[in-house]
Amino acid sequence: MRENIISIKGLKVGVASTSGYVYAVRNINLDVRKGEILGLVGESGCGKSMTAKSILRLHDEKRTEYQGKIIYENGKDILNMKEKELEQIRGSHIAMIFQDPMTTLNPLMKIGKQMMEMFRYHTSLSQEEAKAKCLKLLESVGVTPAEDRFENYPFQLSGGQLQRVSIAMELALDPELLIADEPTTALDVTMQAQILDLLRKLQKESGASILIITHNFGVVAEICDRVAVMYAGQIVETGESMDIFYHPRHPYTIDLIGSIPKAGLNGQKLTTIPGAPPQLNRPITGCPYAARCRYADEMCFTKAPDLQTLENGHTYLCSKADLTGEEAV
Amino acid sequence: MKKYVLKRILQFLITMLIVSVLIFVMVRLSRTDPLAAIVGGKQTTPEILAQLKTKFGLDKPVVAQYFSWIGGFLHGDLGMSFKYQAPVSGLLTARLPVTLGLVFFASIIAMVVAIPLGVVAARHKDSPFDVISSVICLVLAGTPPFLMSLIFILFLARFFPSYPFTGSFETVPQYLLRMLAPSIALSFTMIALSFRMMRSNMIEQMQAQYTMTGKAKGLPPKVISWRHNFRNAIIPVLSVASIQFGSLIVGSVLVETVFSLSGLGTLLIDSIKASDYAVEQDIMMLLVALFLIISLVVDLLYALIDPRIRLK
Repeated sequence: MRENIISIKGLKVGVASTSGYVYAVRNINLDVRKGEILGLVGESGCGKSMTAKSILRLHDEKRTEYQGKIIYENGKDILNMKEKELEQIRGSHIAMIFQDPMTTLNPLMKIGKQMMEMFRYHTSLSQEEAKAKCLKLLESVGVTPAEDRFENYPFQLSGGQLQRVSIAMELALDPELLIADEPTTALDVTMQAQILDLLRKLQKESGASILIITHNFGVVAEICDRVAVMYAGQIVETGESMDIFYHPRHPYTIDLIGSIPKAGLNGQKLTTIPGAPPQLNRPITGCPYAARCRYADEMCFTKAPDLQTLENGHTYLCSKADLTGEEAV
Repeated sequence: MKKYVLKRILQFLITMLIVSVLIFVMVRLSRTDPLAAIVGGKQTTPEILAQLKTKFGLDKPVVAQYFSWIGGFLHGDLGMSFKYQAPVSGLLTARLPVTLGLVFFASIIAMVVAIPLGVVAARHKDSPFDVISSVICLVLAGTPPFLMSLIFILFLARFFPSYPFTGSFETVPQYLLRMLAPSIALSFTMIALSFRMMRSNMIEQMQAQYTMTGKAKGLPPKVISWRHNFRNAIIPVLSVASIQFGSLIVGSVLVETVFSLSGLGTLLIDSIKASDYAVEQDIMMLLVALFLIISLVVDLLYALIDPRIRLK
């Protein structure tokens, strides 16, 4: 097995509310291996974005409580690092791009200047060397003419171009891991495909790992090597993305894949999953998906599900070991 | 940018024109007879009155009076004071440094104090510093300038008895020292409001997405605050400060009375009482122009800070 760049062990993340901490991420175990593209999939509010931001500890620390460990490749726990140490990892070893490219950059600062900051605060390169690198980066992501774009302000570029700029900026220091939080959600469909292609191309060239957060199984099918499916703050299924796509085991994954709109079904209603995820401010007994699960029986409502592991490393969190999702595809 | 500047300058000129008409009309709506001020209670004959009317141009039609005033004003001829029987320009030059000084020093003090404090308070939100400074500012914002001036005088008299509260000034250091206390007293309201605004804008900017990008890039929090958030947060503070500048002008009238300085404010009130047309009109025009010029400068500053205004 390949080495891990990040190993999340028993992560719980709580956000302060008027009635104590609400745990939106509950006991997550997840490894990001070197050189892979890992997809973290789930519906809105399942905690996937929160998990991703926890890796860089981006949450407001005054209002957030972390439990568990996030082991970086050097063996250190990110959750225990000093702020200074963390600043050195952020951007240069683990970088992150966000959902809405229109708001990701500072509106009052030139694009070039914002890119240069990567070099300014992490390397000892001279201004000229850094600028030359930035221009090269802009060209490599197809934001041209690079010289002009370097001097532009964010409002002068389109959303797709800005997302490319973000990618170029975040890859400036050859990070070992790029976290992409819904990188295509705010873009139109043609632009989505282009951005995914770009990410895959750059990943091949650099050999970096990518953790891509998405609610879209299409994105997973397109670029991910492995996928982890999240539900109600837990990871319910992990495995090779094609394996999960064609042989989902967890009922939630089965339903999720079943609800992907298919071409050629004009006039038919879209398949949806009835019900809503459980309230996270109350304790959950049994399986969090039980109330929406069509396979659930009495035991599912009382006993927390066990983690099942198949030979190919495919794992899923369900008490029913014999389910196969063939019929969903 | 050129278009933006031209547009703003044009707006300024049009506003000045409208304001000049308003001032002219308002001054003339007063019930007091300007001739009474000219004569000053002495016995007169209708012939002398007619003579005086001609001398001060009061026999001409109102429209002609307006044009002769505004025409002179634009050429730097501010006309004659009825009451003092002297050119207005002479009256103003002695008093202008007082009012201008008060208003400018007060706003500079306010900005220099309020803006960095606002940033620090926002960066340490809910800390003792933040809570204490917020409470102090709330008190300052609610205290009228004249009351603040009185308290300030009592305070100074107790702890710095050698401070020059009265008397005239000849040299620049004397002038600056004499202006210091009233300027500080005048600046309190502006400090309070600018501080509150800077603080809340900074807090808002610190929650913006680009701030998280900066954090994810590994920038130190200080760099994110001062290099990124600061510029975004200060724009609205500047525009509100330029409006507050107007209330500083009003406040200066009271402060100069309390500190027994002879500035434009006291002269304006005297001239209104006496219906001293030229003096009233000129002072009001100057104050309005001052206010509008500051707004214009702030608008241009705005464009310098925000590329979205400059380049669109």
